[in-house]
Amino acid sequence: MKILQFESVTKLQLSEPISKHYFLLRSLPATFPGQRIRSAKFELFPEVPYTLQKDGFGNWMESGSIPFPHTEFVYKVSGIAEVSELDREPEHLHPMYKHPSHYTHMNEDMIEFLENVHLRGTTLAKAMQLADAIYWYMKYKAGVTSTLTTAIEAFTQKAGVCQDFSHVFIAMARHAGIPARYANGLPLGKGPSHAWTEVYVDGTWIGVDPTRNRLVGDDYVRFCIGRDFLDCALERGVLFGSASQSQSTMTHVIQQ
Amino acid sequence: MKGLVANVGTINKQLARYGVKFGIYKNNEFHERLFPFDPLPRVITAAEWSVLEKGLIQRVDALNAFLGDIYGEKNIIKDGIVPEDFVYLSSGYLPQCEGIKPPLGVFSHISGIDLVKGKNGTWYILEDNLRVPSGASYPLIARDLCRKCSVDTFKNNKVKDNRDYGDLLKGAMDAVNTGGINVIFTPGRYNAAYFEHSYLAEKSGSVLAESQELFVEDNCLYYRSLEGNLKVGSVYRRISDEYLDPLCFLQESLIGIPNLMSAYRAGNVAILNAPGNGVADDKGIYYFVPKMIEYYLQEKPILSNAPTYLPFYEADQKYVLENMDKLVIKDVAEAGGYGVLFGNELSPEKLEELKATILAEPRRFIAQEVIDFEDLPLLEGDTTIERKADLRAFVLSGTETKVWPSGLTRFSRNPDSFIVNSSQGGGFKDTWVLSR
Repeated sequence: MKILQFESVTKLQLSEPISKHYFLLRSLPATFPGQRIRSAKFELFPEVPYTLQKDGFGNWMESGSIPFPHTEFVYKVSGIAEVSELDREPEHLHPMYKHPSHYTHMNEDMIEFLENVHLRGTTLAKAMQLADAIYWYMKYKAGVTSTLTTAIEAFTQKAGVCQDFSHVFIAMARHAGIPARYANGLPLGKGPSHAWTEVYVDGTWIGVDPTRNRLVGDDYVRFCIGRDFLDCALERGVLFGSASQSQSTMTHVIQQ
Repeated sequence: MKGLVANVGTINKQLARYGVKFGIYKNNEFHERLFPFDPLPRVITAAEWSVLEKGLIQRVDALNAFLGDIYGEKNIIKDGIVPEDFVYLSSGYLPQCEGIKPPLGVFSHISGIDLVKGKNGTWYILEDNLRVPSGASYPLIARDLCRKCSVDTFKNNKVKDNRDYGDLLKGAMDAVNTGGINVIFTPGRYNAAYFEHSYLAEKSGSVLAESQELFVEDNCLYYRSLEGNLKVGSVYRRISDEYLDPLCFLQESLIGIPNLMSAYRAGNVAILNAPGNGVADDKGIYYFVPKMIEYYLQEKPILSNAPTYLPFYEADQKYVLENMDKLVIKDVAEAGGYGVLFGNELSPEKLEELKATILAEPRRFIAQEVIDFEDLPLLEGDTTIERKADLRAFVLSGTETKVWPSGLTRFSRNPDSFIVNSSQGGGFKDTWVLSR
């Protein structure tokens, strides 16, 4: 078990004031098997009321709108999580994690790639072999994909970011009969937020990070899960106006 | 009746003037066309109707119970009545709706249940439509025109008045209204069913609104009117689930309302019909509806399904593969009369191809016995011809479940076709329910 102190600040900067802005964030981690949230604090700038609800996947959602002109939108979350990946309670497997979802369909090339990996051994061993194969096949490259990029598109161009590595992994794992889901959150250290995957092994979910080719262990604070990015984006927004936007996220997780 | 026949030209002209149209997709192109009206009504006797009415109420009540269970406790799966893959593999199942309890526990407020009458006199359920079933306005407006053209017809025949559809709709909306106005939410005038949206808004006393007139603030839905913002208590939306809210479903949707789903989840607005209902009107789930009636209501089903086989079950699969030439095979992923194949119309190669697909993806198909259903006479020139026709009955659920004593009878123009879906061409008739 590790005690992780986490902080994340996201800043959205707009070139012109926008008149109206709707947001839906998943910026507060929930307590779930393998993770207990001791404390968490959420702040929004500009300060507007927001609604806190759990979505259909058990993630916290913070939703609301900013009904006046603004050029900056900042949200900040900080808290303390106890992470103990190894003694996760068994969970019922929801069958939706066995089948292709919006971003995680396969094409012929992906099926062929998967066959050539020759997965063998235990479910977890297979998952790690698959993560390894994808890690060496795809190049981590920012700016070549977007939040709309599917697993097929990312695989075809052999490059992408953590979202794309995770989608390719999920598509292939499910195709190989390993239930898999998408996870979002913060890894130990400094940097942007991160996406990884979980595979269902003998009654529990185990975190696998194909972008870093490693097991997640007790080093990640999980914010939300879903079938793929569509279900559990950390942030979604609808903006009214014609401003160009730039966004930065700074996260910091330290072990206590 | 003669008065109706004599005036069919006038009625169809009036329908065209009102803009009573239907949109169809053909070769990936969208075409709008008129929905021709045939003046010879389908007549349902009072005795027949009383059975249909009870059976339809029972069926819709069970379907509503199923939806509450699936997005809640899931007892029907735990008890092994419906295999979980059938539920969760359905494209209509929306995990985003897990845990939402809509007002009064009603999910399907306006249900369109399609039936056919066999030559043996038995009515069979063909499919349930629990998402946004359309078509109530067609018989409603046609009846109105018929009355004007031939007053005597309705004096001489004891036909149940069907002009209360607007009241039934208002009743269903009022029952679940969380405080505020009733709104019919339309994607806009370019939608194939825009005529119906505006007509139903008028008949039910609701406000017809497009997405730019609706917004969520403080987790409540509002309508932007000239007099200021009005809170919306119930919204009868005529757009499909995935476009409802770009922050919850498809982010590229431009016709949705941001954060509508959050307001709905919080119980601050009722959405008719509930998002996620597609899981209960899936062609694969259809097979289980009689079992749902027994499971939730502890009653015997009053109305029958068409005899259906699920290749998912081994015994059924064997039967289907051996009797393909007698069966109609339906791809559960397709709607609107598409993906329906008649075994006896397929070439030997196509038949083998289909068998292989069924073996590879048994969950994707259902197979049904071809029902020899009743022909109804249509007017053609000075004479009549016989064609296949079905009936869409409209069932409205609020504090109680009611069946509209009318319905949409659709017929096929093609003499060999058993497919009467409006998306596939054809026309419609008035449906007379006799009061005695």
